[in-house]
This record gives sequence, structure tokens and C-alpha cells, in this order.
Amino acid sequence: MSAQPQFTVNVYQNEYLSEGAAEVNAIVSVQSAAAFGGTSTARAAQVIMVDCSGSMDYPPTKMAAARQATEAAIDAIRDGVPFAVVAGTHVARMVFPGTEYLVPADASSRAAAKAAVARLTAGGGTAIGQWLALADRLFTGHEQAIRHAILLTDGKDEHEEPADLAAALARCEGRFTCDCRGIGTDWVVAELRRVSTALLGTVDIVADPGRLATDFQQIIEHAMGKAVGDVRLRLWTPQGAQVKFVKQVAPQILDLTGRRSPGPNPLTGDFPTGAWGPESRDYQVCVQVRPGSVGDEMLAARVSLVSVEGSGAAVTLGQGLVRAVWSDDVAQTGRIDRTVADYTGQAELAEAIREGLEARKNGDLDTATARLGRAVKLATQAGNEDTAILLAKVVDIDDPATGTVRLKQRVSDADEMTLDTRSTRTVRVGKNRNENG
Amino acid sequence: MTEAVGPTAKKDGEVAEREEPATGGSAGHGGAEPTRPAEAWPTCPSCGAEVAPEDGYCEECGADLLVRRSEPPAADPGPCRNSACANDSYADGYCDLCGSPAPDPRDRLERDLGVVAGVSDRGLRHSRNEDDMALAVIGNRGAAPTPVIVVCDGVSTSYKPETASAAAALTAREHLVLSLRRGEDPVTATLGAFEEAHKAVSALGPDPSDESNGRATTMVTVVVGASELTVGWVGDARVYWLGAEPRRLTTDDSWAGRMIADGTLTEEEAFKSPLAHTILRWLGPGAPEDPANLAVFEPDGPGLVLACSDGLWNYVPDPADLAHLASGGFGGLLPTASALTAVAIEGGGHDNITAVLAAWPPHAPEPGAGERTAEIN
Ligand SMILES: [Zn+2]
Ligand SMILES: [Zn+2]
Repeated sequence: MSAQPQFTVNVYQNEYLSEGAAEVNAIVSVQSAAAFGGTSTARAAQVIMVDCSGSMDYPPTKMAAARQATEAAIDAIRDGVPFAVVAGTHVARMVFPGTEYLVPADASSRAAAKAAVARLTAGGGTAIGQWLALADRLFTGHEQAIRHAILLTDGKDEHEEPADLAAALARCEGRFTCDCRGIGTDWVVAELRRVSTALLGTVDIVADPGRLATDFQQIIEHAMGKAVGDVRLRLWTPQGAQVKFVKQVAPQILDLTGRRSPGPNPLTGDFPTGAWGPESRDYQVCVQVRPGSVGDEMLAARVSLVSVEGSGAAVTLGQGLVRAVWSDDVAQTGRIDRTVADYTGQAELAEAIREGLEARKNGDLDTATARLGRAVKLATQAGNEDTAILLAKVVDIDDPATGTVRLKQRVSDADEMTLDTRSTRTVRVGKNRNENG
Repeated sequence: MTEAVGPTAKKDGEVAEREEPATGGSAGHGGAEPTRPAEAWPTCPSCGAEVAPEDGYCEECGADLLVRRSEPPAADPGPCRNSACANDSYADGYCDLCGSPAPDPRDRLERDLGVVAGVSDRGLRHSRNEDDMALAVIGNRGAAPTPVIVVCDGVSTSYKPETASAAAALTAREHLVLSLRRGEDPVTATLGAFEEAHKAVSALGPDPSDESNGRATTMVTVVVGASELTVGWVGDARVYWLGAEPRRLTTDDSWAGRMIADGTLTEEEAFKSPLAHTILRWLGPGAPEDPANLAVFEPDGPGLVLACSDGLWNYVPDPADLAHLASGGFGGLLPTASALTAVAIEGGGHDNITAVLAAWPPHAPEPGAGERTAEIN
């Protein structure tokens, strides 16, 4: 119990609306600070899915890097945490242990697992839905633990129908979280993002196989730091109000709007956020309320962070209030909340990149130029330097301030995919976020 | 429409001059004036036993020690403020069905202590009432009682202004009651009341998410003595004398008030400025340290004392107009205060409105009169 992190919830918004306005926007900033020193003592369970399709041998450095990274991941698993390694091809196969169950990590199980991983060879196709289904079966019986998976692939999910993957994701949603990594440039960003979004994880490209081991190790360390599983944003909104969207906006954009499940009463809904360790995340909430007149005030939303236990009982970890106050004072209604504005801009940036790259792929060069130009302008305004650097590998920038750009003739697949996967990463809006002037 | 000024304006040394008595009647209220001899208190007027200034009843003989205080707002919220909503349960201060703010008893306060009565109203355009008032009547067996008035207007741009006005009103009223019962002179008691109220507001603490945003309120007090009115103020709430020659007894601690006092602008010009209501003095953190403004006024005939927030005087600033409205024969101080409030509401009710009236000269309540049952705590 002492391992429960302390949660702090802060709401940033301009609560003042002009007469008749009905849309309320707020950033809900959640910080959890571990109340314990050192590592989490919460129960965890871990599955590592490694692509062993035939293409992993072209070049052979990919398979070698995958073996090495999986070994590094195994070493990073905390003592006592049940784990398994799965080889993914057009089917899913147990690598360690040999049968479908999880083995607690200790010196001998780690050694045995690493020996099995060292013998991995490439051969076969790719059916990611099958891999996920096996991971889901492995986690069965570990519902009290914080369940996490890593998925590594180098190719397109081509040995099953998209509907098969969708069905597997639907079954796995809420069952475990999954961080996805694509190695090389033959995998499909949108496909892997669908997996990571559904399973509330991250997605990234590992263009250099040599860096995969470090990446895997960090993913596992991050997962081992989680102290509370199944944490949800519980949103109360007044009768007649409509939740327009709920999305995580930092550290990366993750739309949760469609993930609502009913809360304890008809005015509440739960949105999944996965497991939490000591970390900070920001969410944007947009609620349409009944319009008010000057002098009216309303609670537009109560945002609670709740931890749901296996029994279904919810513990409130923190809470923030989103208010609406109607005023005719333009000094109040005209104030821009910088936090809301910054995240709105960053969301538009991610959208512009996604649309720009898609148009480029489809040969619609005018749209691609316009959208990527817009992205350059927004990244410049937001001071999002990481994204600006990635954009500069895809377009020649004539004027960053106006977003005047030309598409580069030759763009490496790796650069394009890096920009695509990382477009949803946001720059956390600073702590002194609403200081005037 | 009370707004705080920035730090540069706070530093302006010219602003906070001490107000000299507004009328010929100076503060020379020596031995003749006090409503009761100092040595008569604190003893029971009935049996002569020693009593504490804060006692409401004599512990020896049970006599009413003749201090009446207006009650603070009730705690029970009642049904939802939204007429389309039939709910009556609340969480975090809001209706848990429609999200409307829980009804606040301060939306409309009416207090009647017989010789002094007042109304405080949310108005039409603000989501809560940030004004507050606290009244008392200090009785003196066989002689005229001393009504005490405190009116506060929370600074709307400060943190939780409704808490600042409530704390200041209550603290100042208690200080005035206890000091006057101890036999302190009204001027000293008034200055002390402002100091204590300032401390009380400062002690509430600033916005936890922005330490620079403290709490603040303006305040006006009146001690309605048998021969004079002792008025104290900080900010732009006002006191009017509504007698044969109606007049305002306060000058506003606001940008407009200063421009008018300087002779820089006419009243009409000054109130056209968007800065007009920017207040230059308040109670709470960052306030100028100077003592409160004071005025002592000796009425030369019967009349009414009106203490009000700017939510009223914005609509009717002129003393003669106010006197005319108050003379409408409403049948008592409370109905008259209510009628003045209604004028502001009908005019648009743009701000919170507080209007408190006391009759002068204060007369002893008739034995067994109705107000004896009212509002004792
Ligand atoms: Zn007695
Ligand atoms: Zn309601």
C-alpha cells in the first residue's frame, strides 16, 4: 500500500465564456510522484514478442539485433516478475518457456530464456494478430498484475486480413499495454500505431539496429517502474452536456474519445490511461455544455483519476474541476490560456504532418506542400525543435515563419517514417504556464 | 466592478492619504459623547455583575446584555438554483446533476436588527455574491443603542473574493462590538477594526496555484453614535447621510475618486474611463499600510445612514437621489434597503449590491418590541 504513488491533478483553462458560448476546453495535468524510494513493488507481468519472419535476415543484422535486444530486455526484468518470449511469424510460437505460461524471472530462468533467444532464426511470414492473441493467453491468470508487452516487427502485417488484426486488438484492449517498435523501413507506421494506440503504448522506429538493445532495456525499466495498473480518467459532465473529445496531449497525443466505457452513474464515463509509475501526463478535455448567459456559472466537468481494482472497486487518486463562467468582460473572456493554446497547436501540428505525408504518398504534391508547410510553421511557433529537425529532412524550408517550403525530391524512407512515428510526440508545456505577460 | 490595480499603482504614495473628517464636526468627541460611560462596562446593566464583552447574556442573572448581531449566512443550500433542475444534492459546490453552482445563501441576504437593517444581493450578472455585510446593535439600558455597520466588497480579480469579504466583515464587526463595549472610543475602535480585518484577510492565504494572487476586499464601517457618525473605509464602498441636506461621507479609494479629488477630472469624465473602478486601497496582502480613512459627522437633524457597495451607487450615485428614493415610505429600514437594491437590479444588476440603513438618531427599542426576537446569536 505504501507503494501507491501520490497523484496531483491540475486544471488549466480560461473558464470565462462569452454570452451564449457552449464549448469548454481545459488541460488536465496529472503528475504522479512515487511515495516510495527505488523500484516499484507492484506485481507485474511481461511478454516480449519478437518478429522472426524471413525478412529479419535481410540484412541479417536485424535478427542479430533482435536477439541482442531481447536478451537486454530479459536482463532488465525485475526479479520475480513472470515473463515469456514469443517468436512472431505467420503464427505465434513460444520461445521461452516452451509451453504457454509465464515463468518468474530469476538467474536461472533468465539464463534459459537468453539461451533460447540465442537460437532464434528467421523464417516465415507476419501475422501480428496471432502474436497478440498468444500474449493475451499468456497474461490470463495474471489479472492482478500490471501487464506489459513489447512488440518488435520489421514488416507489414501481410499474412492475415486487417479484420483479423482488428479483432485481436479488440480482444486485447484493456488486457495489457504494449510498446511497439519497427525495425528497418519495411513496416507500416499506421499499422503499428493502430496497435500501440489500442494498447495504450508507444510506437517508434529503430532505424539503426545497433540501438535496439538500449531501447528495449529502457522500455522494460519504464514498465517495471509502473506502480498502479488500470488507471482511468473518470469524467463527470452535467446532464445534457456532450464530451466532444478526451485525449492525452503529452508526452504524446493519444485520442481516447472513442474509448469511453460507462462510469458508476449515467453522467460519468471512464477513459483508459493504462498503468502509471512516477510520471507526468497531460490531457485535453473538450465539453459542449448548455449555453449560459452572463453571470451564469457551471461545473462543466469533474475529472477524476481512478484506479480500478480487480474487484471493480475504484479508488480516486486525484481530481480537478473544469468550470464555465459566462461574462461580458472581454478582459476575462478574451484571455487565451497558454496551456490550452499550446496543446491545441501541437495537435494541429501532428495532424498536418500526418495529412502532409499521406498526400505525398498519394502523389498529391500541392496538398503535401501546403500541409507540411503548415507543420513547419506550427513547429516553429511551438518551439518544437525535434519535430522541426525531422521536418527539415522531408522538405526544404524557405521561410519557417510563414511555412514556405518545397518538397525534397529524395527523402529516405527512414526519415519519412521517423517523422511519421514521432509526429505525435509533444513538447510538454512548461510549469509556469500561465504567467501573465 | 471593483478591480485591483497592478503593483505599480499600489506603490503610489499619493493615493493613501488619510481622510480628514468630511464635515465640520471634528473628532473631538471627548467625555460628553460616548453612548455609555466607560466604567459601566463590562458589567451587567441589570444586576451589575461583571460580564465579558463577548457575552450575550449575563451569567449571574441571565439578563440580555443587549448586543444583537446579524446572523451569518445559513449553511443549508436548499434546492438547485437552476429552475429547470429539481435536484438538491451537491458535490464540490456544484449541483451533481446540472452543474449549476450550489445555491448560496449569500445570493440574497436580508438582515433586520430593528434600528439597522440591510440587504446584500448577487445581482444579475455575477455568478456569486462577493459582497458581505455584518451588523450589530450594542444596547444600553434606558439609553440609545449603538448600531454598528460593516459592508465589504470582495475584489473580483483576487482569489476567492467572497471569502475575503466574509472574513473582513465578521472580524471588523466583532472588533467594533467588543472594543465599544470595553469603552473604547469609536475612532480607535474603527481603526482597530480595519487592522484586524486586514490581518484576517491576509491570514486566509493566497491562491495555491499562484502565490502572487492573494485575497482582497474593500470595507466601510459606521458606528452610529448618539451625537455623531464615525465612518471608516478602505476602497470604494460608500456611506451617505440621507437627511435634510443629503451628502456623501466617504471619498472613493479608486482611480476615479482620486481624479475627482485632485480636480483632474470632473465626476462625469472620471467615470467614463475604463480605469474608473480600479481600486487603490484594499484589505489583504499587498495593501498600503496606512490607517483606514476616517470621517466623523455630526448630523444636525434626523435622517438615515446608508452604507453601500458600488453595485448600488453605480446606478444612483447622487446623495439627493438616494435620499429621495429612501423617503418612499416603504415602512421600515429593511423594506427601504430592499427597495434601493431593487433599483440597482432593475437598472441591470451588473454587480453585487449591498445596502444597509440605520436611522439617526438611534432610539432605544421599545420594551418587548418585535426585533427582540430577531437574529440574536
Ligand atoms: Zn446580570
Ligand atoms: Zn441542478
